[in-house]
Amino acid sequence: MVSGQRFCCRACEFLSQFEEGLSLKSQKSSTAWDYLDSSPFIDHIRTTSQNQSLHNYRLFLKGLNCSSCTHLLEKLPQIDERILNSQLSFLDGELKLTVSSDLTPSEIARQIEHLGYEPKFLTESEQAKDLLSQESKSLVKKIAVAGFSLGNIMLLSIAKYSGLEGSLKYLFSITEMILFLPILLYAGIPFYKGALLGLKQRSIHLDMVISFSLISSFVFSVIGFLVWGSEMYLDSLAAFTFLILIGRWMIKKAESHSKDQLSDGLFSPDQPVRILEDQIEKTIRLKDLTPGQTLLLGPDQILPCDGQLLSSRAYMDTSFVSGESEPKHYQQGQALFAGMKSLRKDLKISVQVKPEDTDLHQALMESEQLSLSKSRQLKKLNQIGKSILYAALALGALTFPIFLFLLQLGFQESWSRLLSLLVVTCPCALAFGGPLTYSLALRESKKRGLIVSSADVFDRMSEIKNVIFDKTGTLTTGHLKLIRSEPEKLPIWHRAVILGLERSSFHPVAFALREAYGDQVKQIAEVRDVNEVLGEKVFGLFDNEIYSLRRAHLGSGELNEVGFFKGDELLAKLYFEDEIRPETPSVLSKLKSKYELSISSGDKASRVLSLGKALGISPENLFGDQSPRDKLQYVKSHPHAVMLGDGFNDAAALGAADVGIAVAGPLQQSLKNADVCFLKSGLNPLLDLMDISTRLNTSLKRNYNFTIAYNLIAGSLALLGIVTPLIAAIIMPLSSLFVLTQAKRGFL
Amino acid sequence: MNILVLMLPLAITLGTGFLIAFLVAMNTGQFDDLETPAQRILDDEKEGERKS
Amino acid sequence: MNQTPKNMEEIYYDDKIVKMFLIAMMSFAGVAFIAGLLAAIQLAWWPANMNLEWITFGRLRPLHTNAAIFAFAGNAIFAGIYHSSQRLLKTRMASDLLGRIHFWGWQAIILAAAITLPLGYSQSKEYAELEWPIDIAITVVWVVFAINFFWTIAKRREKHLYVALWFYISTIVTVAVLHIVNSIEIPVGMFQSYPVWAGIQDAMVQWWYGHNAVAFFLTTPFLGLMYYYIPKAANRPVYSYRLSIIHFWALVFIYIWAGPHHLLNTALPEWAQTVGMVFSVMLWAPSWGGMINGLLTLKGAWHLLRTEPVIKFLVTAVTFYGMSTFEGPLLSIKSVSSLGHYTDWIIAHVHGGALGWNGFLAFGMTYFLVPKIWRTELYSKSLATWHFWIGLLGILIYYISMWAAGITQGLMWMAIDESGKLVYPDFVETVTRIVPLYWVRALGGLLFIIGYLIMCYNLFKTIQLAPKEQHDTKALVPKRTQETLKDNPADEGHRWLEGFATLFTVLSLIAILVGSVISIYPTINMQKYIQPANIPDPYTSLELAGRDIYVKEGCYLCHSQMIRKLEFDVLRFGPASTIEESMYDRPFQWGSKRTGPDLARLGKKYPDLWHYNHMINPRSVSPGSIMPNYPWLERHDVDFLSLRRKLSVLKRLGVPYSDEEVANADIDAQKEAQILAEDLHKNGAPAGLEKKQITALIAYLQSLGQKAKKE
Repeated sequence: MVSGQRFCCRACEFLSQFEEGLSLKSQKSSTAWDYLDSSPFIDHIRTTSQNQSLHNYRLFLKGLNCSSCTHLLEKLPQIDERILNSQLSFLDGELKLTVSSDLTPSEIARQIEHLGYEPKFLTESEQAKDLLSQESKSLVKKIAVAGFSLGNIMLLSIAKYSGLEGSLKYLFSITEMILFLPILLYAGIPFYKGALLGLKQRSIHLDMVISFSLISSFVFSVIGFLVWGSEMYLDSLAAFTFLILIGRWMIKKAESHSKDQLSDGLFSPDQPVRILEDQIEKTIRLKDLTPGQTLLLGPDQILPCDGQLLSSRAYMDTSFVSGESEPKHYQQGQALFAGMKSLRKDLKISVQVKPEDTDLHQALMESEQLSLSKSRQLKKLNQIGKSILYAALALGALTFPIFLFLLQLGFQESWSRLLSLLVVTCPCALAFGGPLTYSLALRESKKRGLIVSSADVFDRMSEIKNVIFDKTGTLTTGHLKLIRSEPEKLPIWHRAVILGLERSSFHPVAFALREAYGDQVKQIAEVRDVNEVLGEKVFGLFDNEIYSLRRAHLGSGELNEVGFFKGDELLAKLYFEDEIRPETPSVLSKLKSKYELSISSGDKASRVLSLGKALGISPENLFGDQSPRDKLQYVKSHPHAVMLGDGFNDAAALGAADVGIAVAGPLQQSLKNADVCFLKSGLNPLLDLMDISTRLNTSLKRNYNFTIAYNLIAGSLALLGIVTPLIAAIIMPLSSLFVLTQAKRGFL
Repeated sequence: MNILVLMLPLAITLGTGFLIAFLVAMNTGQFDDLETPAQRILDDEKEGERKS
Repeated sequence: MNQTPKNMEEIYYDDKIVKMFLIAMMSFAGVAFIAGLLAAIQLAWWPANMNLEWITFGRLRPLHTNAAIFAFAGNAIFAGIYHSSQRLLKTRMASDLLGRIHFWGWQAIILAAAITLPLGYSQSKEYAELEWPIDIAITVVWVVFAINFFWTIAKRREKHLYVALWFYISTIVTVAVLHIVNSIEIPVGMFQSYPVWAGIQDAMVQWWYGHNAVAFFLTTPFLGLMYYYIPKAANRPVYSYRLSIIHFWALVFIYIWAGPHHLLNTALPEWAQTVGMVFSVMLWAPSWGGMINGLLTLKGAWHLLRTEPVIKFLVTAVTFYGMSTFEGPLLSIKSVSSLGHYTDWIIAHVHGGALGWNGFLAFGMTYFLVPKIWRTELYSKSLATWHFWIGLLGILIYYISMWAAGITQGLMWMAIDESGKLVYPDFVETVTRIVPLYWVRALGGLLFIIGYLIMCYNLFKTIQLAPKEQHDTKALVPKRTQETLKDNPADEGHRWLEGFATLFTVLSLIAILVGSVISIYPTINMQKYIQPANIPDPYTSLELAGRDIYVKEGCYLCHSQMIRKLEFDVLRFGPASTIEESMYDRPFQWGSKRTGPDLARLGKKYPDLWHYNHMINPRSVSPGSIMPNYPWLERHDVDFLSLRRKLSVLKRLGVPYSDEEVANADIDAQKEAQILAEDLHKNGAPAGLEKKQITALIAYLQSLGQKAKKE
């Protein structure tokens, strides 16, 4: 290392070392990558060249920083002579390697890791990205060809418009026809494909109109010119085709961005997992994990399947699954679910359900394939779009004979007006503005931690009048807090003993007590033989007496009263309450002005009343002591309602509400019953949801209004002959672009 | 102005030539990565020993 | 890493060729600049030609423009291309030998130009004045260059073609086509030829070439150099590589139809002018895209502008590029052109681009390259900074003075009073008014040269202090094994080479074939455009001899022969020129600058003696004139014998000479000269002028505008 020099990143540091001739072959060996060298892994990441002596790999690298990284990685052939070619694509972090056959993937991975990057070999299945870019590439080629033809046709047409006459004019016109052929035969292909699709589905499609305009106008232009010497419309058509293709390409790009996968960390099928087979640790692919196998889950790893805990204890972060941020304690034999994260040491888990069969996975997959067709608004928009097209065609068919015979405008003028009408008509807002807006709304939702089950949710959100809240876990955190004790101030040594009892407990009560007394007690009592009966009591030996904390069996059964006993003597009563979420008051005050708010909770009525009053909700909307059926009834009797609750406990009510939102609870259950699941805890996502819905609806409305207005005005002007085919060709794509930008603007 | 009988086909031929070059370039992946080439040129080469 | 890895190969880039081109560039720059300065002084003070025909403005200016474009800019381009291409393609040039042939061939061409142009061997087509043997030499050398270049691409070890290379490719291909088409000519002597095009056809072809020479010789290669040297000098990647790709393809696709903007308001048909105008204006967008890309590459490194002379030069160059590419489209608008055409505004525009964009880019690149390639440090950054400021000042003085001169003169020409008469009917008045500005411009040029001299000194010292042992740069590049050959680079390169060589050949063939055919076609079909009533009589053989002298002396450089369809032009010079009037002119003489008045309707306006006196001493008949004396016209003889061949060639090209006229060309000319000389002598001129060039010239001048068919 060059002494005293500092580098901006490891790559630069390495490059400087490299200048001195340092080789990277000597590095400490790590066996973490060895699994890559054998089947089935290696088969999926390596492609072999024809003569078997060279192999190709593609890696995705994390940690790329600056152009030094590019230089360093592309110098790999100089670092290891078995690497023959190394090419980096900086923006998508992909490294393509060509290596000789004696270099193993694990060695490659080690070298790259040593350089400071996190390597991930890409398999063929992960090259789906390429398919999308293939479509995009194909469009670009068509755009290039269309642009070329357009440029040259415009050149010739401007000359004609500027007064060219004579044999040169003839020559120019013939050249224009020839120049149009690439558009007709190549650039127009996407439209023909769309038109055929429409025919197969027996429904009218925008591409049909476009194809019709294109082909018929070309034919008429050519015949018209050759036979009658009339004007041609090829410049308009070329401009039209060119601009529409660009619009299509922009949409494709916008759509491809919204295809970010939710499940990418969790359920990649080729991800390596460790199992224990005959006492020997093996690494296999996720998709090969089968029930009955023993999975080894390391610390900070997410459980990919449902299973049963074989180890004696487990300490799991269940936030992804249940929304609870506090880790939970599990014992041998208990069920564990996909999505939980192990926080301590290696665990042995018996696989019960294959990853792709778990409810969680299924729920996530379903939520991925959000079917836009479920949206009522979209359906409506689609219908209107089709109507516009029908109307245009009908109008065209009607007015053409009128122009020709009644008004005696001549074939050219009549055809010109018909063409203008067809070209200018664009239900664009509806054809792609709508779907795009929804896609963008869904993408935005994903970003904000909302899982929305269908686009229809946004539609319904616009009609909401009531917001119904569950209490515990929704308006409150679900965490307990010590609010009162009898006696008010416990003797310090009582508190010390209490903390001693709860020292190793992860029970919510334990957390509350630690929070309350932790600062006050300097020395926690040495309580021996501590035993916890989950959900009931904890007891232990102190000073030769058995002390315990027990649920006091008073009240409704909710965990809010705990008694501190010495033997059977009640020393103190401890009262706990659910902490209200910090954002609850502000969120509710924002909602109060627009909606009717109510609380429907299983908690004691008195508590519900006091909370509701504190939040400013009118008493007739406060309901306590509600059973699940009561809640369901309540929801049913209040149409146009959003219900927020626990995805598991309030399942029925959530299902019945117009928009049921699972604020907490196990994820897979929630996805089954609720329309929306919050991945972030708290109520703020509700505001996000409302914001997105509002923006979506505003955007749709704007587009809708624009499309109607545009089609009416432009169509009329076309029929009046004021808008010529050339002008039509320019303003139609402009209107499409307008719609596109409007949609994107709402969801930047 | 009949010079255009020459110039027009010539210009279009030239243009077509470039169009074909564009399509070929597209197909052979010249435009797949529009980020890394800008960085690649900044790599400096080493001194040499051979007499010139 | 002392041993070469088995998968890599050690190669050496050819640095020698770069050094050669750099030295040639710096040397010839001096020629170009000094010629320019001399020309500038001559405009301010006519005796500066020292009565020598070889350095009179008419012969000096083509030397200046050719030296500036081909010797200075050309060598700069080649130096940059050879240097950057090798490194971008990660391979040595395919053939050292071809490189040397290119170099020596090119310098030989320059030398030939330096000799022939002052001697008056000129085709009078701007930036294409060099006569046919040199035209052939240019074609050959260019082909050699192209082969070497494309062959190197075929052998490359870097798959991706960096954007700079695309610019180079387009330059090489397009310049070849332009040069070939514009140079289709029939020799009539060892160093004289007539283009197959005539009049308006020639005008179109010439300015199609002329503008695209600017586009594809002075712009695209320099853009390529910009995209390489700015990132290298600032050590930052191009601001947006994506934008640079779009920039390139947009430029190429909009390409070549801006030519007609040089012919606005002329006899060129309206529609053609409109097309030229529209496409010229459209070109503004991609050009500024390139400028923005170049400038924004400095984002985050603007402090380098303060400390590094190289960056100062390169960034300023790009700024001038932006200015020129805005001014150009502006000047392409018909109304603006009606003010600026033929004035010094155009000169300002040219020099802003040539000195600011081309000059400063070349200088910046050279300051960057010389230390690198001679493996040393620049002798003095401070001197380079001085160069920058002095040079910049020079350019600004040049530009502002000429812009002011152009506007002034243009407005004076346009001035019509309420009674509909010209406010400044005397052309000379509009000239004397701006002569002071010519002095200022000369000062600007001088400053620019001083800066250049500082640079010469600086580089000389740099090279002097460089290590005695010089080596080629070594590079470690991937090997071309059988496998890698198959996968992409070389195999694809092979197709590339074939593809381009084929395209190249085909294009050249098309151009040549069609050109040959077309030489007959216009004469057949001209009727459709030409109004039969306006078809003029062809020049007599003496008039033709005189015309060739007019061409040789470069009279077209100060005198136009195209009266525009603008009121003030018509008032000043007579009815607007028609396309029929120049239909037999090979090459066309419409001209592009009026340092002196338009001559389209000069015929019979003044008596013969007036013309004699005017040529010997312009001030005797036109006080205040800045035209130099042409005493050698009285001394040199006319080449009568060559007239037979000349007429025969023209007849083949479609000019309606009878066989008799062709056979007797020399005799007819001598007879006509005799009559003219006697008439001159009778009126006071010296005797014995019948064999002299001045007589022929007078015959020609008296025919201008007089050739319409007699009723």
